[in-house]
Amino acid sequence: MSDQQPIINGMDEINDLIQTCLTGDQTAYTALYDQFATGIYRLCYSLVLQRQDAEDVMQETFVYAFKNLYRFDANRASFKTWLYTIAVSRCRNTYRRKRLPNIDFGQLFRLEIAAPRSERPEAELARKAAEDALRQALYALTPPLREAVVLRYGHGLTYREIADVMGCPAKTAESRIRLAHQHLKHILQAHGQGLLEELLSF
Amino acid sequence: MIKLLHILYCKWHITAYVNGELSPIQRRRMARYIENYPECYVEYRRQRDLSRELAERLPILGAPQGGQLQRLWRLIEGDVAKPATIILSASQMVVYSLSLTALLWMVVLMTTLHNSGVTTLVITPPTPDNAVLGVETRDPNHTTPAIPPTFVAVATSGGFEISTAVSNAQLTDRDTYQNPYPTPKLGE
Repeated sequence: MSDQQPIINGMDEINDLIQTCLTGDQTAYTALYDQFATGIYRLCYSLVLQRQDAEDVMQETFVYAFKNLYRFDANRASFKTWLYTIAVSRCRNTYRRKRLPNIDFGQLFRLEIAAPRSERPEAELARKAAEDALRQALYALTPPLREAVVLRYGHGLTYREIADVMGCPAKTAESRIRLAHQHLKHILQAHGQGLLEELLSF
Repeated sequence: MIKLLHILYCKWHITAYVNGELSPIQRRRMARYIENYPECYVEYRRQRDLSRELAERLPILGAPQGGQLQRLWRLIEGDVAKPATIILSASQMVVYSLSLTALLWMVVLMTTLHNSGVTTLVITPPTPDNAVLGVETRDPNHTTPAIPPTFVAVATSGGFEISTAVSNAQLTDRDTYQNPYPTPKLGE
């Protein structure tokens, strides 16, 4: 297993992999994990915004998914949607337990993105500032809006897929994206002049 | 008025438009409004820029660091291999442990009391004075009134046969009743 996401194209290949997993093949489990681990970790991190929590949620998600793999029905949803649904549900449990406040931006804005080594200090600072602005903006959103915007822009899901993952009608998903846009615009503009420009111009 | 409606329509659907989530008819309509109304065009630019930036920035937010996924895989592998166990949350753990402690204390307390010979004081309710006085002041020559015999109708092939099948029940002779717990009189 590696940090590099292997390329498995097509739903058929994923479904074959799942069938192999169900026969008890350990390497198939590893391949399935390799395929989705990065995406699930990013999703969890973007929603709970804390590294340790994101790791816990990701672990719970995969353990649940692998133990309940026989329940997955390829006719009802894609494996990605199924896995994302589990992850989002676990994230909701986490921020319900933690009762994340939506106003206090303290303590948690530490950047985790590995910067390219060739980056100059000024460029790195600017990148960090832009990332912090984005993180603050995400943190200030309510959980449903954050979920919608992360699924749309962080993972490229369509409105239909977002609705499936979030368990709401497609129109609701659309409204949430629209509201998230409005909020993000206001938040970024409100946080000191230039944060939006910084984010947009970087 | 119509212009205002068009602008409102535009503002309402602009996010879906920049995300490519509108139907072809709606897309054409939106393109027309953006072209005709400067307000719509400004909003379109703003939303498009924000969407682009989000689509560029969000995918790299929280990208896993080197070795992080391998470490997590080892944990997941171990958990999956384990037989299913009941996982309790922290609050459930607290509630269950408190309940268990309370139960243990009760058992210990009961055992200790039982072995130390401590008896519990049970307060008996006072005997109703009316009942005692009723027994004591009863006329010794008084006889219990007889309950009239019960007539029973038995259906036979030839009609009804009425008989006094049930005799009087023998009542308890309350005159001989001695109250084992007489009520102490005042001054005694």
